[in-house]
Amino acid sequence: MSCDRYQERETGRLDESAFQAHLKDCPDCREQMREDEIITDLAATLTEITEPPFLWERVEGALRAEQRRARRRTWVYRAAAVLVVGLGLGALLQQQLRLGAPEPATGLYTAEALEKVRDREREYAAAIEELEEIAGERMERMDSELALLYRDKIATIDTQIDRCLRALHGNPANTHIRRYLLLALRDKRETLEEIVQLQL
Amino acid sequence: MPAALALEASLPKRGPLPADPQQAERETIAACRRGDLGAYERVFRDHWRRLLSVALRMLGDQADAEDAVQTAFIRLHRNIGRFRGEAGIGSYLMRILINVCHDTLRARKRRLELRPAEPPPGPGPDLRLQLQEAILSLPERMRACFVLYAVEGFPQKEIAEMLQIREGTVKAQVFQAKERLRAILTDEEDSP
Repeated sequence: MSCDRYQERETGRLDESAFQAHLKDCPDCREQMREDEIITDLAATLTEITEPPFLWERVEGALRAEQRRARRRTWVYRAAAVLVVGLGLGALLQQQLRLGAPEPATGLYTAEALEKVRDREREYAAAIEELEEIAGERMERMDSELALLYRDKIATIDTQIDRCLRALHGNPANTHIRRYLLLALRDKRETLEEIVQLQL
Repeated sequence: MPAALALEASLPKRGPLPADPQQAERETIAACRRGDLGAYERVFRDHWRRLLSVALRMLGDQADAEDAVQTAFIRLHRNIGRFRGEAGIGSYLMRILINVCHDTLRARKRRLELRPAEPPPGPGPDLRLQLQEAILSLPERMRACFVLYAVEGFPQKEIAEMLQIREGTVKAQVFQAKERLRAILTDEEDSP
């Protein structure tokens, strides 16, 4: 076949009205079009298929297995996060306590700044107290493996808070230790919020 | 009874108006994101026929086609959080399925390289079977374009979005597919 007009129309390079005008005088294009119609009409009949038995059941089984795998992965990530946070805070605090030497003047809060930081600590402590009760109830109802991870994380944070408070006893205006205390309190509040918001 | 009321009484009683399909789909997608398997089943019921048909035409094997549909749903589950809803869930799922089919064909090609080549099949008993065989001999992308367009009836614009290629490319691929199929079928008709 020598005429390219049909190809031009099929590939969008020739508009339909121009092609229709051309078609009247071109037996080549009419023949190509007829043959193509046979193929496309025949192709349209290939959709007849029957539903294989238990296909949805197979898909559902695979999705359930996928969800179980995803849950296991989440626990592993959470456990890793607990470990990293715990180790990080521990290392920072230990370094701070080992230094032990008197802080330079720049490492101490002024009385006014200290009061602001303490206000912030009191805000965190109040929020934690409120959240602890609800979170405790939720942990009773959650999967035991997940509850264990959260208990571990909270215990790690509590240890950091205790150590900060002990270190601040003789040095209450120390900016570094106050900052670690604030970070630990914030971490605890966020963890409790996460537990409260968790969909069980 | 006034004429208008009589006419109304004679009409069949209408049930509640159908819910907005787009809203229904948004709700289904939200439920899928929450991991609700009932929502996945709704998606499956709406789309399994087309998915299986395309997989069958792409792979030429019932068991492989069913596996491809299953894998497509697993990938949908993994990626549902990234689905932005620009196209319908059916188009998105079809795009995933086509990728699964490409992966299956690649794996099959690797397996075949390890085995001696089988003799080519002889001419089929009828034109429909010959066409099925001929479709399987098309290059992968051309096959996908042809199957989605000529077998499943998707508009070329939607196929372009599914396969992430230009609409002009879809048109050219469909045209070339028809040329090749015509040549194959004509040869088989001419053979003794």
